[in-house]
Amino acid sequence: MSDFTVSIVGEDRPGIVAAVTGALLEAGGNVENCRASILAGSFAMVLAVQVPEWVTDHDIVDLLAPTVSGLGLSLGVRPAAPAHGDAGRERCVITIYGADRPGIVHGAASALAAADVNIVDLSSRLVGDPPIYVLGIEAEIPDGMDAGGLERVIQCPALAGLDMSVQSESERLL
Amino acid sequence: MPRTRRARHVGAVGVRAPPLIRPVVIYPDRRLKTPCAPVRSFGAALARLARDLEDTARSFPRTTGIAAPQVGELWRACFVDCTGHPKVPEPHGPLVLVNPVLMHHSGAETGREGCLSLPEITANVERPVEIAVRFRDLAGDLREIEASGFEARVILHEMDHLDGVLILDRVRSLALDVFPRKKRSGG
Repeated sequence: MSDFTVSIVGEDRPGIVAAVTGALLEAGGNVENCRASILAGSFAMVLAVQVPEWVTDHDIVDLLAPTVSGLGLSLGVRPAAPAHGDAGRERCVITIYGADRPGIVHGAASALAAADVNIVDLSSRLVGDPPIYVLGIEAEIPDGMDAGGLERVIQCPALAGLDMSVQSESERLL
Repeated sequence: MPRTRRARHVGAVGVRAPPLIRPVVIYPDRRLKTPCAPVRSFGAALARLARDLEDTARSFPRTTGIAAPQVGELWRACFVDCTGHPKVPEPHGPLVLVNPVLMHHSGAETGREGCLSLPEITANVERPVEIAVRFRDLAGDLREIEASGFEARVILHEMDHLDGVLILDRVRSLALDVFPRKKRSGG
């Protein structure tokens, strides 16, 4: 079996997931992992798909072409990257929230990158009225760093005035 | 100018002033992120605050608790009442928890929480299932109660407010655990 990553973006409408997964199923594909969301008016989906060994990325593109053109989607297909070797690193959940302004995601991501913290999951959302920007990050921290150290990392000038909290995966309660 | 007082009976306690519903502080008001000070004086001002908390909480349907910072008072006091809640078969009844301290906790359970100060969202929050909390009552007497399930969740939610902690600080995944609240119709 071969692993591929398929990404789809397009104007949101009913039936996108059904059409894309139906085409993948025709190729003997098995959706192993999938994330999808509406971002503004666009529907975005990324799938980790396992297909029989003889199926190439070009085959997947050809198979999805009618669906993609019919629904006006953009498509990306590429062989899955090998899982990286830091699975043993401790994970923390970071929540950053406050009044919206440009540069919050970049400020957080830059601070984390500079401290060798690896982002494994990230999403952000505007909620409420007046809107609050909420950024949620799950991250692997380097050996020798703890949740307190991570909190110091994100207490950077780019994130000044925002509220933030760090929860260690190994300290799930209180 | 003195207010006109219209007394009404409240259980066996006697008469009290009409409800005083105070505006609820909404995030990003900084008072919600400020740790509160311990209550040192157990007098009329504390009793008044407790009554305001109760009256304000009761002005919202299905509200089971409110903390002092949510009405702008940065004192370690909160009001909890799970009476009549379907998830609490044996509630403690109305509780005013002053200077509460978590003495014991066990178990863990994820449940959906809302917050008067974050009115547009709900969130899945993991909390202990059983707790013991020590606190002072309005007279300043030390008390300790055990609570479980939903009532424990409410108490811990309100105690979080006293430390400037909101449900957004407790979610595990923004994508999976934070939800826009359904719009209420009418009103």
